[in-house]
Amino acid sequence: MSPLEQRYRRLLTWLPEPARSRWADDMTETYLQVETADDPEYAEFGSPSLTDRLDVARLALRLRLGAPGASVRAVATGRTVRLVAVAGTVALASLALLGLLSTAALHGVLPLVDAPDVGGTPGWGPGDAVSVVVRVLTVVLAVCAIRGLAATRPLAVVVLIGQLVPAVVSVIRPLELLFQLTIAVPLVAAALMPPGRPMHRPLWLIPVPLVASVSVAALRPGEPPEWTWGLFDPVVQWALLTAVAGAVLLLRRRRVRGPAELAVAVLALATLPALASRWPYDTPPEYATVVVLTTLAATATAAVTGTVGLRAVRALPMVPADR
Amino acid sequence: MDVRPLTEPTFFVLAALADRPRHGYGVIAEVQGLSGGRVTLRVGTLYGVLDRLVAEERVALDREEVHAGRLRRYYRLTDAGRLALEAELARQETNARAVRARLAVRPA
Repeated sequence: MSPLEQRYRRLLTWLPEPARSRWADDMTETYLQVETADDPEYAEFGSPSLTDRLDVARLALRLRLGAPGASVRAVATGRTVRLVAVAGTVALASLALLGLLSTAALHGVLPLVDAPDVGGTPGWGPGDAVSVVVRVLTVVLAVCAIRGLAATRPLAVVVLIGQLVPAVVSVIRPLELLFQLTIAVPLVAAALMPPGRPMHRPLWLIPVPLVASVSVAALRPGEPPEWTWGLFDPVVQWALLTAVAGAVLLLRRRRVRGPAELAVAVLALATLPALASRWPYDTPPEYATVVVLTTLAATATAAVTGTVGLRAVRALPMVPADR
Repeated sequence: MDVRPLTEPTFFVLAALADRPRHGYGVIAEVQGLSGGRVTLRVGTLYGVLDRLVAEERVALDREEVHAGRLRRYYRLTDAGRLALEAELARQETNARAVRARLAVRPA
Protein backbone atom coordinates (compact mmCIF):
# COMPACT_ATOMS: atom_id res chain seq x y z
CA MET A 1 0.00 0.00 0.00
CA SER A 2 1.49 3.36 -1.07
CA PRO A 3 1.76 6.28 1.39
CA LEU A 4 -0.89 8.18 -0.64
CA GLU A 5 -3.32 5.26 -0.41
CA GLN A 6 -2.74 5.03 3.35
CA ARG A 7 -3.49 8.75 3.70
CA TYR A 8 -6.71 8.53 1.68
CA ARG A 9 -7.84 5.47 3.65
CA ARG A 10 -7.24 7.41 6.88
CA LEU A 11 -9.23 10.36 5.48
CA LEU A 12 -12.14 8.10 4.53
CA THR A 13 -12.48 6.84 8.11
CA TRP A 14 -14.44 10.11 8.57
CA LEU A 15 -17.33 8.48 6.69
CA PRO A 16 -19.91 6.85 8.97
CA GLU A 17 -20.98 3.23 8.66
CA PRO A 18 -22.48 1.63 6.58
CA ALA A 19 -21.35 4.06 3.86
CA ARG A 20 -17.68 3.56 4.79
CA SER A 21 -17.79 -0.20 4.23
CA ARG A 22 -19.72 0.31 1.02
CA TRP A 23 -17.70 3.11 -0.60
CA ALA A 24 -14.26 3.52 1.02
CA ASP A 25 -12.39 0.97 -1.17
CA ASP A 26 -13.94 2.29 -4.35
CA MET A 27 -13.37 5.94 -3.40
CA THR A 28 -9.72 5.22 -2.53
CA GLU A 29 -9.23 3.63 -5.94
CA THR A 30 -10.85 6.62 -7.67
CA TYR A 31 -8.81 9.15 -5.65
CA LEU A 32 -5.58 7.31 -6.53
CA GLN A 33 -6.50 7.22 -10.21
CA VAL A 34 -7.34 10.93 -10.23
CA GLU A 35 -4.21 11.96 -8.31
CA THR A 36 -1.69 9.73 -10.11
CA ALA A 37 -3.09 10.04 -13.66
CA ASP A 38 -0.41 12.57 -14.68
CA ASP A 39 2.34 11.62 -12.22
CA PRO A 40 2.44 7.98 -10.97
CA GLU A 41 5.23 8.85 -8.51
CA TYR A 42 2.83 11.16 -6.64
CA ALA A 43 1.60 7.99 -4.85
CA GLU A 44 4.89 7.87 -2.94
CA PHE A 45 4.86 11.38 -1.46
CA GLY A 46 1.44 12.95 -2.11
CA SER A 47 -1.35 13.58 0.40
CA PRO A 48 -5.04 14.54 0.18
CA SER A 49 -5.56 18.22 -0.66
CA LEU A 50 -7.57 20.60 1.51
CA THR A 51 -10.36 20.48 -1.11
CA ASP A 52 -10.44 16.67 -0.86
CA ARG A 53 -10.62 16.89 2.92
CA LEU A 54 -13.49 19.41 2.78
CA ASP A 55 -15.25 17.29 0.16
CA VAL A 56 -15.07 14.15 2.34
CA ALA A 57 -16.07 16.15 5.44
CA ARG A 58 -19.16 17.44 3.61
CA LEU A 59 -20.12 13.94 2.45
CA ALA A 60 -19.57 12.58 5.99
CA LEU A 61 -21.80 15.31 7.46
CA ARG A 62 -24.56 14.65 4.89
CA LEU A 63 -24.43 10.91 5.62
CA ARG A 64 -24.55 11.52 9.38
CA LEU A 65 -27.68 13.61 8.85
CA GLY A 66 -29.54 10.94 6.92
CA ALA A 67 -28.66 11.48 3.24
CA PRO A 68 -29.80 8.61 0.98
CA GLY A 69 -27.69 5.54 1.74
CA ALA A 70 -27.18 6.55 5.40
CA SER A 71 -28.01 4.31 8.36
CA VAL A 72 -31.34 4.20 10.19
CA ARG A 73 -29.64 5.98 13.10
CA ALA A 74 -28.32 8.75 10.84
CA VAL A 75 -31.81 9.22 9.37
CA ALA A 76 -33.14 9.67 12.94
CA THR A 77 -30.37 12.23 13.62
CA GLY A 78 -31.30 14.11 10.44
CA ARG A 79 -34.93 14.10 11.51
CA THR A 80 -33.95 15.55 14.90
CA VAL A 81 -32.02 18.35 13.18
CA ARG A 82 -35.01 19.03 10.94
CA LEU A 83 -37.44 19.19 13.89
CA VAL A 84 -35.12 21.58 15.78
CA ALA A 85 -34.81 23.72 12.64
CA VAL A 86 -38.55 23.85 11.93
CA ALA A 87 -39.78 24.37 15.52
CA GLY A 88 -36.94 26.78 16.30
CA THR A 89 -37.35 28.91 13.19
CA VAL A 90 -41.12 29.07 13.76
CA ALA A 91 -40.39 30.42 17.28
CA LEU A 92 -37.90 32.92 15.83
CA ALA A 93 -40.38 33.95 13.11
CA SER A 94 -42.96 34.64 15.79
CA LEU A 95 -40.47 36.88 17.62
CA ALA A 96 -39.56 38.56 14.33
CA LEU A 97 -43.24 39.30 13.55
CA LEU A 98 -43.65 40.80 17.01
CA GLY A 99 -40.56 42.96 16.39
CA LEU A 100 -41.83 44.10 12.99
CA LEU A 101 -45.23 45.05 14.42
CA SER A 102 -43.61 46.90 17.36
CA THR A 103 -41.36 48.87 14.98
CA ALA A 104 -44.32 49.71 12.72
CA ALA A 105 -46.40 50.83 15.73
CA LEU A 106 -43.53 52.92 17.11
CA HIS A 107 -43.20 54.78 13.79
CA GLY A 108 -46.96 55.23 13.45
CA VAL A 109 -47.27 53.25 10.20
CA LEU A 110 -49.60 50.62 11.61
CA PRO A 111 -53.19 51.21 10.44
CA LEU A 112 -55.78 51.88 13.19
CA VAL A 113 -53.06 52.13 15.88
CA ASP A 114 -51.80 55.45 17.18
CA ALA A 115 -48.06 55.79 17.61
CA PRO A 116 -47.02 55.81 21.29
CA ASP A 117 -45.78 59.09 22.71
CA VAL A 118 -42.03 58.61 23.14
CA GLY A 119 -41.27 62.28 23.53
CA GLY A 120 -40.24 63.06 19.96
CA THR A 121 -39.73 61.33 16.62
CA PRO A 122 -38.18 57.87 17.03
CA GLY A 123 -34.83 57.57 15.27
CA TRP A 124 -34.21 55.47 12.17
CA GLY A 125 -30.73 54.44 11.08
CA PRO A 126 -28.96 51.77 9.02
CA GLY A 127 -29.03 49.40 12.00
CA ASP A 128 -32.84 49.61 12.14
CA ALA A 129 -33.10 48.93 8.41
CA VAL A 130 -30.85 45.85 8.71
CA SER A 131 -32.90 44.66 11.67
CA VAL A 132 -36.16 44.91 9.68
CA VAL A 133 -34.64 43.03 6.72
CA VAL A 134 -33.34 40.27 9.00
CA ARG A 135 -36.76 39.94 10.66
CA VAL A 136 -38.53 39.64 7.30
CA LEU A 137 -35.96 37.03 6.21
CA THR A 138 -36.52 35.13 9.47
CA VAL A 139 -40.24 34.79 8.67
CA VAL A 140 -39.40 33.65 5.11
CA LEU A 141 -36.89 31.17 6.57
CA ALA A 142 -39.56 29.57 8.78
CA VAL A 143 -41.86 29.14 5.75
CA CYS A 144 -38.99 27.58 3.74
CA ALA A 145 -38.10 25.25 6.65
CA ILE A 146 -41.69 24.06 7.05
CA ARG A 147 -41.98 23.42 3.32
CA GLY A 148 -38.58 21.66 3.18
CA LEU A 149 -37.28 23.95 0.44
CA ALA A 150 -33.65 23.93 -0.70
CA ALA A 151 -33.50 27.68 -0.01
CA THR A 152 -33.67 26.96 3.75
CA ARG A 153 -29.95 26.32 4.18
CA PRO A 154 -28.50 29.41 2.45
CA LEU A 155 -31.23 31.58 3.97
CA ALA A 156 -30.40 30.26 7.46
CA VAL A 157 -26.76 31.24 6.95
CA VAL A 158 -27.79 34.75 5.86
CA VAL A 159 -30.11 35.19 8.88
CA LEU A 160 -27.43 33.79 11.21
CA ILE A 161 -24.92 36.34 9.91
CA GLY A 162 -27.58 39.09 10.05
CA GLN A 163 -28.35 38.24 13.69
CA LEU A 164 -24.88 37.60 15.02
CA VAL A 165 -22.61 40.10 13.29
CA PRO A 166 -24.41 43.29 14.43
CA ALA A 167 -24.77 41.82 17.92
CA VAL A 168 -21.10 40.89 18.24
CA VAL A 169 -19.99 44.25 16.82
CA SER A 170 -22.27 46.44 18.92
CA VAL A 171 -22.90 44.56 22.17
CA ILE A 172 -20.86 45.72 25.11
CA ARG A 173 -22.48 43.56 27.77
CA PRO A 174 -21.47 39.88 27.43
CA LEU A 175 -24.80 38.78 28.95
CA GLU A 176 -26.63 39.93 25.82
CA LEU A 177 -24.46 37.66 23.71
CA LEU A 178 -26.00 34.71 25.57
CA PHE A 179 -29.33 35.56 23.91
CA GLN A 180 -27.65 35.35 20.49
CA LEU A 181 -26.37 31.88 21.45
CA THR A 182 -29.99 30.76 21.95
CA ILE A 183 -31.00 32.19 18.58
CA ALA A 184 -28.03 30.52 16.87
CA VAL A 185 -29.12 26.95 17.75
CA PRO A 186 -32.20 26.69 15.45
CA LEU A 187 -30.42 28.73 12.77
CA VAL A 188 -27.43 26.36 12.72
CA ALA A 189 -29.88 23.42 12.62
CA ALA A 190 -31.63 25.05 9.64
CA ALA A 191 -28.26 25.57 7.92
CA LEU A 192 -27.51 21.86 8.32
CA MET A 193 -31.09 20.69 7.70
CA PRO A 194 -31.25 17.79 5.26
CA PRO A 195 -33.71 18.42 2.43
CA GLY A 196 -36.99 16.59 2.75
CA ARG A 197 -40.68 16.57 2.15
CA PRO A 198 -42.77 19.48 3.49
CA MET A 199 -43.89 19.16 7.10
CA HIS A 200 -47.61 18.53 7.26
CA ARG A 201 -48.07 21.44 9.61
CA PRO A 202 -50.05 24.49 8.53
CA LEU A 203 -48.19 27.74 8.15
CA TRP A 204 -50.58 29.50 10.54
CA LEU A 205 -48.44 28.06 13.35
CA ILE A 206 -46.00 30.94 12.79
CA PRO A 207 -48.18 33.80 14.07
CA VAL A 208 -49.98 31.69 16.75
CA PRO A 209 -47.70 32.59 19.68
CA LEU A 210 -47.77 36.23 18.60
CA VAL A 211 -51.57 36.35 18.30
CA ALA A 212 -51.88 34.57 21.66
CA SER A 213 -49.58 37.10 23.37
CA VAL A 214 -51.33 40.09 21.84
CA SER A 215 -54.78 38.66 22.69
CA VAL A 216 -53.83 38.00 26.31
CA ALA A 217 -52.32 41.48 26.57
CA ALA A 218 -55.40 43.09 25.01
CA LEU A 219 -58.02 41.13 26.95
CA ARG A 220 -56.41 41.08 30.41
CA PRO A 221 -58.43 43.06 32.95
CA GLY A 222 -56.45 45.98 34.34
CA GLU A 223 -52.80 45.73 35.32
CA PRO A 224 -51.66 42.09 35.80
CA PRO A 225 -49.94 41.03 39.01
CA GLU A 226 -46.19 41.66 38.96
CA TRP A 227 -45.25 38.00 39.17
CA THR A 228 -46.87 37.37 35.75
CA TRP A 229 -44.56 39.84 34.01
CA GLY A 230 -41.98 37.11 33.49
CA LEU A 231 -44.55 35.06 31.58
CA PHE A 232 -44.72 37.79 28.91
CA ASP A 233 -41.01 37.31 28.20
CA PRO A 234 -40.73 35.41 24.83
CA VAL A 235 -37.75 33.37 26.07
CA VAL A 236 -39.70 32.26 29.15
CA GLN A 237 -42.64 31.36 26.88
CA TRP A 238 -40.31 29.38 24.56
CA ALA A 239 -38.81 27.47 27.51
CA LEU A 240 -42.24 26.72 29.04
CA LEU A 241 -43.56 25.56 25.65
CA THR A 242 -40.67 23.07 25.35
CA ALA A 243 -41.41 21.85 28.88
CA VAL A 244 -45.08 21.29 27.96
CA ALA A 245 -44.12 19.63 24.65
CA GLY A 246 -41.66 17.37 26.50
CA ALA A 247 -44.29 16.36 29.07
CA VAL A 248 -46.85 15.61 26.34
CA LEU A 249 -44.32 13.52 24.39
CA LEU A 250 -43.31 11.50 27.45
CA LEU A 251 -46.88 10.93 28.66
CA ARG A 252 -48.26 9.88 25.29
CA ARG A 253 -47.86 6.24 24.33
CA ARG A 254 -45.81 6.42 21.16
CA ARG A 255 -44.56 3.43 19.21
CA VAL A 256 -41.48 5.21 17.92
CA ARG A 257 -39.42 7.44 20.20
CA GLY A 258 -36.23 9.33 19.51
CA PRO A 259 -36.09 12.34 17.16
CA ALA A 260 -39.02 14.28 18.69
CA GLU A 261 -37.73 13.82 22.26
CA LEU A 262 -34.18 14.75 21.23
CA ALA A 263 -35.44 17.84 19.36
CA VAL A 264 -37.34 19.02 22.45
CA ALA A 265 -34.20 18.44 24.55
CA VAL A 266 -32.07 20.52 22.16
CA LEU A 267 -34.64 23.34 22.06
CA ALA A 268 -34.96 23.33 25.88
CA LEU A 269 -31.17 23.37 26.19
CA ALA A 270 -31.01 26.23 23.70
CA THR A 271 -33.15 28.43 25.94
CA LEU A 272 -30.75 28.14 28.88
CA PRO A 273 -28.20 30.81 27.77
CA ALA A 274 -30.97 33.37 27.12
CA LEU A 275 -32.63 32.53 30.45
CA ALA A 276 -29.26 32.88 32.22
CA SER A 277 -28.86 36.33 30.68
CA ARG A 278 -32.03 37.37 32.52
CA TRP A 279 -31.06 36.14 36.00
CA PRO A 280 -29.49 39.47 37.07
CA TYR A 281 -32.74 41.39 36.33
CA ASP A 282 -34.42 42.14 39.64
CA THR A 283 -37.29 44.45 38.67
CA PRO A 284 -39.99 43.55 39.52
CA PRO A 285 -38.73 41.23 42.29
CA GLU A 286 -40.88 38.27 41.20
CA TYR A 287 -39.52 38.41 37.63
CA ALA A 288 -36.22 36.74 38.63
CA THR A 289 -38.11 34.01 40.49
CA VAL A 290 -40.17 33.16 37.40
CA VAL A 291 -37.01 33.09 35.26
CA VAL A 292 -35.14 30.83 37.70
CA LEU A 293 -38.12 28.44 37.98
CA THR A 294 -38.38 28.36 34.18
CA THR A 295 -34.64 27.64 33.95
CA LEU A 296 -35.12 24.67 36.28
CA ALA A 297 -38.07 23.43 34.18
CA ALA A 298 -36.05 23.77 30.95
CA THR A 299 -33.06 21.97 32.50
CA ALA A 300 -35.25 19.10 33.72
CA THR A 301 -36.97 18.90 30.32
CA ALA A 302 -33.63 18.79 28.51
CA ALA A 303 -32.28 16.11 30.87
CA VAL A 304 -35.32 13.81 30.79
CA THR A 305 -36.30 14.09 27.10
CA GLY A 306 -32.62 14.04 26.12
CA THR A 307 -32.02 10.78 28.01
CA VAL A 308 -35.15 9.14 26.54
CA GLY A 309 -34.35 10.40 23.02
CA LEU A 310 -30.67 9.41 23.11
CA ARG A 311 -31.47 5.92 24.37
CA ALA A 312 -34.05 5.45 21.60
CA VAL A 313 -31.74 6.73 18.83
CA ARG A 314 -28.76 4.70 20.09
CA ALA A 315 -30.91 1.57 20.02
CA LEU A 316 -31.48 2.02 16.27
CA PRO A 317 -29.39 -0.23 14.02
CA MET A 318 -26.51 1.04 11.87
CA VAL A 319 -27.94 -0.66 8.78
CA PRO A 320 -28.95 1.32 5.66
CA ALA A 321 -32.36 2.94 5.98
CA ASP A 322 -35.07 1.42 3.81
CA ARG A 323 -36.21 4.08 1.38
CA MET B 1 -41.62 8.92 -9.75
CA ASP B 2 -39.73 12.02 -8.62
CA VAL B 3 -40.37 14.71 -11.27
CA ARG B 4 -38.05 17.38 -9.89
CA PRO B 5 -35.37 18.61 -12.33
CA LEU B 6 -32.05 16.80 -11.92
CA THR B 7 -29.10 18.72 -10.51
CA GLU B 8 -26.23 19.24 -12.94
CA PRO B 9 -23.88 16.66 -11.31
CA THR B 10 -26.70 14.07 -11.23
CA PHE B 11 -27.59 14.77 -14.86
CA PHE B 12 -23.99 14.34 -16.01
CA VAL B 13 -23.40 11.20 -13.92
CA LEU B 14 -26.49 9.56 -15.46
CA ALA B 15 -25.39 10.74 -18.92
CA ALA B 16 -21.88 9.33 -18.38
CA LEU B 17 -23.35 5.89 -17.70
CA ALA B 18 -25.83 6.00 -20.61
CA ASP B 19 -23.71 4.14 -23.20
CA ARG B 20 -21.84 1.64 -21.01
CA PRO B 21 -20.90 0.82 -17.42
CA ARG B 22 -18.03 2.86 -15.98
CA HIS B 23 -15.99 2.95 -12.77
CA GLY B 24 -15.57 6.05 -10.60
CA TYR B 25 -12.60 7.57 -12.44
CA GLY B 26 -14.25 6.70 -15.78
CA VAL B 27 -17.36 8.65 -14.75
CA ILE B 28 -15.30 11.69 -13.69
CA ALA B 29 -13.39 11.68 -16.99
CA GLU B 30 -16.57 11.19 -19.04
CA VAL B 31 -18.39 14.03 -17.24
CA GLN B 32 -15.46 16.32 -17.95
CA GLY B 33 -15.59 15.32 -21.62
CA LEU B 34 -19.38 15.59 -21.93
CA SER B 35 -19.42 19.05 -20.40
CA GLY B 36 -16.52 20.28 -22.51
CA GLY B 37 -14.33 20.60 -19.42
CA ARG B 38 -16.84 22.86 -17.65
CA VAL B 39 -17.85 20.36 -14.92
CA THR B 40 -15.15 18.64 -12.87
CA LEU B 41 -16.69 16.32 -10.30
CA ARG B 42 -14.92 15.99 -6.96
CA VAL B 43 -14.64 12.36 -5.82
CA GLY B 44 -16.71 13.04 -2.69
CA THR B 45 -19.41 14.74 -4.78
CA LEU B 46 -19.44 11.81 -7.24
CA TYR B 47 -19.93 9.23 -4.48
CA GLY B 48 -22.57 11.38 -2.78
CA VAL B 49 -24.48 11.40 -6.08
CA LEU B 50 -23.83 7.68 -6.73
CA ASP B 51 -24.96 6.80 -3.20
CA ARG B 52 -28.25 8.60 -3.79
CA LEU B 53 -28.75 7.20 -7.30
CA VAL B 54 -28.10 3.63 -6.07
CA ALA B 55 -30.59 4.16 -3.20
CA GLU B 56 -33.14 5.46 -5.75
CA GLU B 57 -32.39 2.43 -7.99
CA ARG B 58 -31.43 4.64 -10.93
CA VAL B 59 -27.89 3.25 -10.95
CA ALA B 60 -26.76 -0.27 -10.04
CA LEU B 61 -23.47 -2.08 -9.50
CA ASP B 62 -22.53 -3.83 -12.76
CA ARG B 63 -19.35 -5.75 -11.82
CA GLU B 64 -16.19 -5.63 -9.75
CA GLU B 65 -12.65 -6.01 -11.12
CA VAL B 66 -9.30 -6.12 -9.36
CA HIS B 67 -6.62 -3.75 -10.71
CA ALA B 68 -3.14 -3.65 -9.13
CA GLY B 69 -4.51 -5.41 -6.07
CA ARG B 70 -7.31 -2.88 -5.59
CA LEU B 71 -11.04 -3.29 -6.17
CA ARG B 72 -12.59 -1.33 -9.03
CA ARG B 73 -16.40 -1.17 -9.24
CA TYR B 74 -18.32 -0.52 -12.43
CA TYR B 75 -21.77 1.07 -12.34
CA ARG B 76 -24.53 0.93 -14.94
CA LEU B 77 -27.71 2.86 -15.65
CA THR B 78 -30.94 1.03 -14.73
CA ASP B 79 -34.23 1.36 -16.63
CA ALA B 80 -35.43 3.85 -13.99
CA GLY B 81 -32.24 5.86 -14.48
CA ARG B 82 -32.67 5.89 -18.26
CA LEU B 83 -36.27 7.10 -17.84
CA ALA B 84 -35.17 9.87 -15.46
CA LEU B 85 -32.46 10.98 -17.90
CA GLU B 86 -34.89 10.95 -20.85
CA ALA B 87 -37.46 12.94 -18.82
CA GLU B 88 -34.79 15.52 -17.95
CA LEU B 89 -33.71 15.75 -21.59
CA ALA B 90 -37.31 16.26 -22.70
CA ARG B 91 -37.72 19.01 -20.08
CA GLN B 92 -34.55 20.77 -21.19
CA GLU B 93 -35.51 20.43 -24.90
CA THR B 94 -38.98 21.90 -24.24
CA ASN B 95 -37.42 24.84 -22.40
CA ALA B 96 -34.85 25.36 -25.15
CA ARG B 97 -37.53 25.26 -27.90
CA ALA B 98 -39.70 27.78 -26.08
CA VAL B 99 -36.83 30.20 -25.53
CA ARG B 100 -35.53 29.74 -29.09
CA ALA B 101 -39.00 30.66 -30.41
CA ARG B 102 -38.93 33.81 -28.30
CA LEU B 103 -35.46 34.73 -29.53
CA ALA B 104 -36.61 34.30 -33.15
CA VAL B 105 -39.11 37.13 -32.70
CA ARG B 106 -37.19 40.33 -33.22
CA PRO B 107 -38.54 43.32 -31.31
CA ALA B 108 -40.15 45.90 -33.59
